[in-house]
Amino acid sequence: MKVLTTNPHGFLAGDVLDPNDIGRTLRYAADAFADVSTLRAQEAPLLLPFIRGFSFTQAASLEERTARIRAPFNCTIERAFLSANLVSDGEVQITIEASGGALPEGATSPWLTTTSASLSAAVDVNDIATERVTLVAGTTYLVKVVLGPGATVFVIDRLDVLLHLRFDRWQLAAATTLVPPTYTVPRSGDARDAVALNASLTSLAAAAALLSTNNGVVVPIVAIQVNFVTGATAGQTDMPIPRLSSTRAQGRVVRIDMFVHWDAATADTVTGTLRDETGAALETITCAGGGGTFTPNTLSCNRSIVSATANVTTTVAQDYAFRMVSSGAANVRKAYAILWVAR
Amino acid sequence: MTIANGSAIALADINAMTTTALGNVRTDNAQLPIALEWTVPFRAMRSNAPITPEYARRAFLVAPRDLWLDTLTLKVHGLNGTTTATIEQEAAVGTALAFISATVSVVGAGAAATASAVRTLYDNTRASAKSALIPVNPVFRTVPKGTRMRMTLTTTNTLGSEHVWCTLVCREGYARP
Repeated sequence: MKVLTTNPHGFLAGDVLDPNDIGRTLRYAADAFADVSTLRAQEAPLLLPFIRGFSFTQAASLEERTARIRAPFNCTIERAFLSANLVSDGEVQITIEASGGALPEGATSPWLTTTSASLSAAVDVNDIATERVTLVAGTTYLVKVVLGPGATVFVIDRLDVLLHLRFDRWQLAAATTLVPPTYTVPRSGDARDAVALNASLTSLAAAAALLSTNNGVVVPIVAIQVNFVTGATAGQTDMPIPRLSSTRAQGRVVRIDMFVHWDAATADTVTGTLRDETGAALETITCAGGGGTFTPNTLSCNRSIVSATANVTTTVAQDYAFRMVSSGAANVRKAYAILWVAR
Repeated sequence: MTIANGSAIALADINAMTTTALGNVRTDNAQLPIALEWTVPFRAMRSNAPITPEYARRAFLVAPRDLWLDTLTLKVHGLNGTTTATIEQEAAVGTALAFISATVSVVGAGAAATASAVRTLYDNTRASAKSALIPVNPVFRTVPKGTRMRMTLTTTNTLGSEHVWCTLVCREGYARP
C-alpha cells in the first residue's frame, strides 16, 4: 500500500475540527501501521560449507562429510537444494538431524538424494526439498553426506547444499511479536477528551518507533578453509566481507559459530578473527584441539561492519575479512565459520 | 507532544501528531535491506594441465525471493593470469540470459600477491528519463523469486595455489509470513 508522509487529512488554518476528522486520521495511521507490520519475513540463502576444490569419498571422516548449523534465532528452512558433481555406484543421500540424532520438525530422511548412480562427474546432479524444517535457536544440526541403499562408493568433486532460511525480523529484535497501537477513535458527539486522544497518539508513536529501531535482517556468511597448517599467508586465509557504505547498508556481526576438524588428534588451535580493512582484529574466536580431532565454538558479539565511505573503488583495502589460522603443523582438514550478520 | 484537557493546541501540533509515526511507517515500507551475501570459495583453478573442469568453477543460487543485485566482488590470491567471475540468470539449466549478466575481473601479480575487484551493480543513484534529451536509464538488475542464477569463474591462471572468493550481494524486501 502507499503510505503518505504527511497527514492524509491534513488540517488547515480555519478548519472547524470535528472529532470525526481526528478519528479518521488515527484510523488511517493505525491501518497503515498494521499493514506494514505484517511485512516481517525475510529469506536468506546459506551455502553449507562442504569442501570445495578437493574431492572426498565415502571413506572420509564424519566431519569431512558433515556441515553444521547452529542458528542464533528460531528460523525455518523453506527449501533445500542439492547441486553436485560426483561418481557413485548408487544413490547418495543428504540427511539432516540434531546432534542427538533426532530429525528436526518437518524434515524427512533422506532429505536430499542423487536418486541413482552417477557415472560421470561431468554430469550435474540436482535435487530439491520443499518441506518446511524448523530450526530451534541454539541447537546444532548436522547435515551429512551418506551412502544410500545399495551404494558402496562415491567420489564427490563438488557438492553444494543451498538452504533458504526464513527469519522473522522480530526474532532479531529479541521479540516475538510487534505490539500494535491501541487507540480510541473519537466520534462526533463524544466528550472532548484530550487525555484519551493523547494516549492514542502516544501508543501509535511508540508502535511506529519500533519499526525504525528494529529494521534488521539476518544474513549468514560462511567462511571455509581446508587442508592448511600454520604459516599460511593472509591472502590465503582471509575470506573477504564486502564493506558497504553506511549510507547504503547497516551491518553488525552478532554471532560467530566456528567448527574445526583435524586429520589426527592434536593439541593445536585454530583461531578465527574478524578484521577491519587495516588488518586489526575486532573479534577473536578459538577452537582448541585439546587432544581430539574436532572442536566447535561460539562467540557472541555486536560488531559493526559498515563503512562511512562508499566501497565503489576496485581496492581490496576496504574489505573486512574473516581469517582462520592454525597454531601448529597438524593438518586442518576443514575449518569453517558461519558469521551471523544483522543487516 | 503531550496534550491535556485545557491545552491550547496549535494547528502544527495537530498535523504533527501522526506525521512522525506515518513517516516511520513509510520508511519501513520502502526499505530494501541487504539480505543476501553469497560468498563462494574456489581453490586452485588453472588453465593448464590439470585443467580445472567447468563444473568445479561454478556455483548455483536459487533466488529465495525477488532480488535486487547490489554488488559483485572478487578476491584472488596466487594468480598469474586473469580470473573473471560471471553472474548469469539461467533461462533453462545451462542456458544463460545475457541481460542479467554481470562480470568482474582480476589480474593477478603472482603466487604471493592478492588482488581484488568490486563492481557495484547498483549504486543508489537515480536517473530520470525526463532529465535529458537523450534519456539515460539507470542500470539495475533484478531477478524474480525462484530464478536459478549461475556463478561461473574462468581463469588463465597456471599456478596450482590460487585462492578465490566471489561474493554476490543482493537486496530484498520483507514478505508476509
